[in-house]
Amino acid sequence: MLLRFIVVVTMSGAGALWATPANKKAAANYFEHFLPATLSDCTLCHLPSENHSPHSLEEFPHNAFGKELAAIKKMSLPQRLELVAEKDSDHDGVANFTEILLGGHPGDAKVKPTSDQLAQWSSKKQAFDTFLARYPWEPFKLVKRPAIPALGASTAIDAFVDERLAVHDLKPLGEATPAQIARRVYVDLTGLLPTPEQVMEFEKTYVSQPDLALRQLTDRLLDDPRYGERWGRHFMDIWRYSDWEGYKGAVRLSQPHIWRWRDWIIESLNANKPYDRMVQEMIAGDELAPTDDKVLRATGYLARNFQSDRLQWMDNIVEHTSKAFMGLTMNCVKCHDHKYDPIPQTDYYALRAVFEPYNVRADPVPGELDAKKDGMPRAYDATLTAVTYVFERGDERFPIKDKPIAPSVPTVFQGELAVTPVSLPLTARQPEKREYYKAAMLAAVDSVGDAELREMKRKTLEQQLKLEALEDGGMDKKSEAWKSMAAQVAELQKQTEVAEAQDAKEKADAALKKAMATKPLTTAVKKTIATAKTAATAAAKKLTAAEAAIKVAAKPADYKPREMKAYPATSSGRRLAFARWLTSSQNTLFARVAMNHLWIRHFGTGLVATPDDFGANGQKPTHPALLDWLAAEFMASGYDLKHMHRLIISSAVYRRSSGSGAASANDAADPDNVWYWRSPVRRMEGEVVRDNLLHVADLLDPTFGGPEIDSTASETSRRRSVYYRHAQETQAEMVQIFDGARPSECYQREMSIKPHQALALANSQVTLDASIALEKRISGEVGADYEAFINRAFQHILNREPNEQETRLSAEFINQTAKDSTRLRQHFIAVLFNHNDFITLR
Amino acid sequence: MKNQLPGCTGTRRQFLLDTGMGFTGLALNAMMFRDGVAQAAPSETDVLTAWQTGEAKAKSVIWMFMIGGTSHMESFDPKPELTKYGGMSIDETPYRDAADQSRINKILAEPGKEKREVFKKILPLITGHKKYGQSGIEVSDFFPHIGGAADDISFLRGMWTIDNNHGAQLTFHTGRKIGDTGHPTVGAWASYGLGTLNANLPEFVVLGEPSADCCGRSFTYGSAYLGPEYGGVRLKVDPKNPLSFVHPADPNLMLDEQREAFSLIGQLNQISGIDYPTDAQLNARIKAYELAFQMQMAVPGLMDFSKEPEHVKQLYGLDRKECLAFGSQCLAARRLVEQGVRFVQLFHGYSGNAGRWDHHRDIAKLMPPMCAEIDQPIAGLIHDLKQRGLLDETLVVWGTEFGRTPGAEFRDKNVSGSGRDHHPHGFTCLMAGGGVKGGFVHGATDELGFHAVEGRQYVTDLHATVLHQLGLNHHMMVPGRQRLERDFGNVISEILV
Repeated sequence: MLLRFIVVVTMSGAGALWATPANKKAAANYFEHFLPATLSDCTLCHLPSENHSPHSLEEFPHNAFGKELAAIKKMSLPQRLELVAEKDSDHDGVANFTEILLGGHPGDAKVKPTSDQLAQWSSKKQAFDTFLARYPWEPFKLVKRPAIPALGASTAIDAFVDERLAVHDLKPLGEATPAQIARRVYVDLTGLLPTPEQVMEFEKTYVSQPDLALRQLTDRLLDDPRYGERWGRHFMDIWRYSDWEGYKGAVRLSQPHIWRWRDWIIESLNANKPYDRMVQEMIAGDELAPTDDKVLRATGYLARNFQSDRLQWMDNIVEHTSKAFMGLTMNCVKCHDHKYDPIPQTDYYALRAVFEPYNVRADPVPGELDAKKDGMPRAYDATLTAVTYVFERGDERFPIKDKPIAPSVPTVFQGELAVTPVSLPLTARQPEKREYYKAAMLAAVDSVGDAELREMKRKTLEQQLKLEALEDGGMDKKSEAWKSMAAQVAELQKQTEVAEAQDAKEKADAALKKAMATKPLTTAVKKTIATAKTAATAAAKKLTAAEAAIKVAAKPADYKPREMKAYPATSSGRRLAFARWLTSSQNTLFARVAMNHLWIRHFGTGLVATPDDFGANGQKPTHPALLDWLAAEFMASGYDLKHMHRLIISSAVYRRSSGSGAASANDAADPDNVWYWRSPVRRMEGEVVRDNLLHVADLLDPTFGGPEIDSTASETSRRRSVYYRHAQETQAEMVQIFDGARPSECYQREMSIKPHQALALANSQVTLDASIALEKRISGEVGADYEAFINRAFQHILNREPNEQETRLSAEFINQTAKDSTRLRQHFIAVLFNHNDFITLR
Repeated sequence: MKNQLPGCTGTRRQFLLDTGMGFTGLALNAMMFRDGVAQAAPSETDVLTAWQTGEAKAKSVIWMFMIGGTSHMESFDPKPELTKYGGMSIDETPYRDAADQSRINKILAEPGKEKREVFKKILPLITGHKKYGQSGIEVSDFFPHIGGAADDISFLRGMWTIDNNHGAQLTFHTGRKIGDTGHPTVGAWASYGLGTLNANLPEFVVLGEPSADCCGRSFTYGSAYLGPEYGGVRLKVDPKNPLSFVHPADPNLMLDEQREAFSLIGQLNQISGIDYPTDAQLNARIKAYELAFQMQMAVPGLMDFSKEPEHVKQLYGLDRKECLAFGSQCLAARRLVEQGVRFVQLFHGYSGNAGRWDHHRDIAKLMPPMCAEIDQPIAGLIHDLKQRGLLDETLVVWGTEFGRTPGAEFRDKNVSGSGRDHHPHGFTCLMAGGGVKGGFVHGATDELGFHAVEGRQYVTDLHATVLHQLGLNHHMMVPGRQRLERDFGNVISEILV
């Protein structure tokens, strides 16, 4: 009854009764598996309520133990628990912890451990003390490099993993086959399967020099540009890459041309740009390198968060910056102090204040004058005076206006932001003054048809740009030199206007003449003639006006400067200060969260199973010491991602067999492989499935980067999946069916198994094209030899040879005499593409 | 713990007990696939999920949505006072309070954001109305067939919503404003809470062309954070092409060839299963292929009406050109719920834009043919469900994003007083079957049809009622996700039997 009541309350989100769910969680965290199931609900501290749906805590009071705990003020629950451990709250003669650990109840005198249970006290106590002395998981404390357990393991990672295996009495499996290892490494690093030759080559060296073979392979693949495409997609998941969405011209979400940020991600990974620098550039690239277009692309991270509703926009940037780089659910504290973590409500608004001034814009790109047609979406501070208020209960209708909030970092980290405004160079605040933009303007002049007009325009533009440069160089607009030059440019502008008007008149006259010559004279033609007449008259009038104007000498005041976008000359510096803090060791979660993400993408699950929540409501790490060691190593390496990949791949745990045969003692003791006694069996992500259909058949188009491709073309065009339009509404269909990333949030891919996936893989055009191409290729190599055909097909698609039974079944299939043999072979290839082992990494 | 995803209720262990069922056993067992493991669909002897109340009145829902905003006064909430005061300003009638701006602003999500003039010059009703059935409920002359079914229907005349533009289409399905797209729809919650009754078919099916880009598009049948498997699966009422990837890209592939290929896939996977007997993923994959093949076969057949008797087709108006499209959707919906599909969502009135029900002008000319398209099919569906004994367990819902203004619209030259503007302050929805009263009116707008004044129900109250009738607690939540009180809605208990 009590359990049912809890479910209902949690569902309705009624706050009052669960004002401190954190206590229940804290108790569970403190005792972990030492807390018996009978005490794991609220009854540890509370009496069960008589009422089915109690309305207040009065109906749900403390028991004796709960009262004892509640009486201690201003201490965390673990501290309080330690204080009452030896006490006997219910006065039944047995101390509190003795009752908890042995199966009594510390708050109920009627429930006591039996004498048999009491006899186990010393061993239980010892086990519990060992447990309490375990490596402490303290996510809000600075990362310290833990000592590597001295177990003689081959790598540090293995030392930490083996230590846990030993504690849980598990025997790790041996190594996977070299072919299986090769398959893992190729897919993990490039997203593409090895060819049979590549597997053979690896096997050859691996047999005699396994470490060398693996290191060489890892190095080669890390240098392959396809590494950036593979890991770019991973980070695009975490950083919420989305192409723009909107209706007609109105952008509602993200920004057009956001692919430039995607290319920046891929290029940065390939260049092994330090991870901390990457994050700094994404959050404050415009303040860090205001005129470096290559860096500015990184602020696509902020541009992507654009949403037509500013409130939602700010909510998203706060929520996801926290989840991605701090592993904190700051979104919870928009309305109230955090229920589980030490984060007050004001922290949300202090973080929002970091982002409050920023907005997005599209800067021009080389060769294009219209940034709407092609531009670079980027962030900049638009409103330096923007003020942030706490919203009462998170409701924007009730800002607390007498207490503006300054930008700051979550108080739990005890950090401070040293905000220094950044003054921006000319071309940062006026992007149309960039050299390439001027060049594009001159190029546009070159395309004017009429030679006279073209020359006139060129001369005018050149002089005007010269004057602009002088002005920007500090020329005083009151000076005679300026006046004289401005008058000169104005004169040229007038002359250009005359030339333009002449040109327009000639064209209008010609159009009129042409219209009048049109036969037969239908109503439509008459209408065209009338319109042309009006236009010709207007053009003549304009020319007359321009010619009259030129008779008067131009004055400096007649000079018409270019109409240009001008943005603020200063950026607040808030984001830069924040980005520097965020990527420093002071943010104790930066490296830990990043290493967990890396681990997920090599092992399928995280050391922390909730990669976006490292707080008390998230899952605890299975291997806290290993995670801390990885984080420490990552920081010491200068945030070198490739270095970390090398370490992981070289470990024994990465090379371990994923297991086969009947269930073992390990299976019984650790069925979910929490302690890595075997390598996890993983399924390919949707992109990897589609890419490999094409890759294995040698159909994959290796073109790198560029504008996103219409996702509906993903069935027929052959680029890598990362390049197709990826927005909530439009994703490559096959990728989506294989649990493609939700653009709004995807810290970890789901791995569902659905019949839709079978239909997609069985029936898609990509599978058909790949089957035809691969059949042709293999048949070309082996001719009529069906066994060789089967062998090669297995090697290409599954990277292994068929066993006897598989060969027999396959042969029966492709040797059906009444049918066309090419077609049967194509179908057989398609069957192997649908084999579970194709999309599975063992 | 580590390998379990949020929302996963089964464990690998449980699944392993269930393996070895083989290639053919599957179709006999209702299975559902969730988080990579297969589980038996809950039967009466099984433990209910945390959300199931054990008191289901309906098994399935047919949810019909009219895109664009159907006039409530000219459909199911006739207002003779409009004709009486036609041509006059609201200010000149006894009901001048209705147009009070502060009262209007009160219910809109963000007052002033989308400014719409209040058109006060009253447009008379463009059609008559009469009383139907024993209940004597008044229905406009545009809906004689639905009128004939009035004794089976609850009329909800006090509906209101928060957006005065077509973003309200999204609001109708999630309770949230346009742009706030991260929320599951009522159909997704139903599918998430209940699971399937027929493993050969998706749990949540969408028929017809959904809301356009402007107004919610796939979010009007989306599942957001519940996960893609709970979102609506669009099927076309086209036996030739009803589902993504349902037909082989190779047009020459024969069914026999494909069966052989699927069979070989199954056999090869089972050989791997000998090497990897503890791999639950592999077993689930084998079953998924079997299911895919079933679905591929089942779905096109469901959309093939050639075996339906003529009199049944006629019931839905399939012999009438104007009824053919929506009538086919309604008939397909009945066939789907018969097969155990939980939630069938029908769209009517797609225009690529706001929707064909958006009658800003020429309402007298444009609205009658629209009504004719749906009147007979909907009434036919209700009759057909009833005669098959399915109406008691099938909840039929008819709705639209908002009503239309009592006043004639004079926004620009083109509309010149011949139509009605958007109206979120009061409108009508219908519910029938599934434990809902027939011949019943709940709620009312004022004499002009302006404000919902009695039995006021927000759109999520429909969601709550639907989930409640399906035997679900409408306060469903997923750990870590926020829902506002308004998102849950309230069960409209007045209309329940």
